Amino acid sequence: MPLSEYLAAVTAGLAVGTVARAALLRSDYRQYPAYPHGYVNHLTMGLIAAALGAVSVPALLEKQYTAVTFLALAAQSFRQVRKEERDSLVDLDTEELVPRGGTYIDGISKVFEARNYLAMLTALVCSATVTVLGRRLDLALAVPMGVLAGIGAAVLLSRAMVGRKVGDVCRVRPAEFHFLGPSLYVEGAYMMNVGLPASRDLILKQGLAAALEPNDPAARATLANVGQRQALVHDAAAILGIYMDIGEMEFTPLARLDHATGAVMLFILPQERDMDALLQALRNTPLLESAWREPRATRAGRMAYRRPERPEKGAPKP
Amino acid sequence: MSMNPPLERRILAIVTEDPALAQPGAGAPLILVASQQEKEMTATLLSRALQAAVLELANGCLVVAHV
Repeated sequence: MPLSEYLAAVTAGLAVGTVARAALLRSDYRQYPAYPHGYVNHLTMGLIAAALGAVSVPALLEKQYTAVTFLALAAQSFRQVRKEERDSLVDLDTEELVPRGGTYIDGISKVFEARNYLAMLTALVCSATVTVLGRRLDLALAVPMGVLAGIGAAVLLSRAMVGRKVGDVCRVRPAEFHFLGPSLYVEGAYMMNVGLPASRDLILKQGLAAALEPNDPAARATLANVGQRQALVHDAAAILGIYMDIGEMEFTPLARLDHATGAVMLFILPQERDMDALLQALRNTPLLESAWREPRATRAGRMAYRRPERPEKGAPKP
Repeated sequence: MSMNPPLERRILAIVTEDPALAQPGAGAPLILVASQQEKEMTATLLSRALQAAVLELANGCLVVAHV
């Protein structure tokens, strides 16, 4: 095959792969990465991933089988990216008033790794299409078709990578809270002991509470995960703000489990006291893949969740 | 503060108005105060300085602890 056709395939693959990575490099409420150095780091890794994907097809066609070794090396580098992202976020987490928690951080770092694979695969599809079609068609036609194939692959892969939200697996509604002596309860679920009357007054004035009622046993098991609950309080605090400073432990947002129903009761002192915004923030919290459980996937799980004597929702605690 | 606190939880101080509670071997500094208001003020200052929470027991003691 002429060099110009390989060059066209590699260039098109490189461009589409890099653009696909750039398109996924967006800052949201998590504000990460939200600084130029972060963008440059991730774009450069995306460029390298796209280059490897774009070069691999022409290399294999020229019987340069060492290209496979380079792909393996790339996979190792991307795993290293995940580890570095995780280490970096763990370090930053110690300085958060409401930390993300290890499960959330694990999910974020996996996404960064996966996006590099997406750039590589997009470039590979584009490059392969241009290379194959370039043998039968004119390059002026093969290149646009290769670009379209790459875009299609990027769209499909990015859609496959979209995770579910908490609102997809449970009902999120406002909840009542009250004090019984110094103990704070959200609809019968014990939250914490607040010893100072002034703090109790502030909590009653500024606090908000919500209940998350799981739709099925899988959602119930997932919401019980401590990492998932930490992600809920972190996202709520990140979006609504938090009415606390260092050392004011009694104002820490909490998500506790109602044992009888499996519902999660969340309490927070937000800067912006808006119940609708809180419910929306909770519904949009990602369902962490490391926290997801599916007990009914086993025979024992199906048997356990068929038992008729399970307490009804809202039943009084013993 | 994490939802998943470390196993080591420490009582940093106990603030009370009741001298009868000032027994030897309490295991934590016990601060005797003269009034309810002073008790709350002392517990607040301690909790802010030590980055701890204030818990109230049924007998009226305020416990400053890392939770």
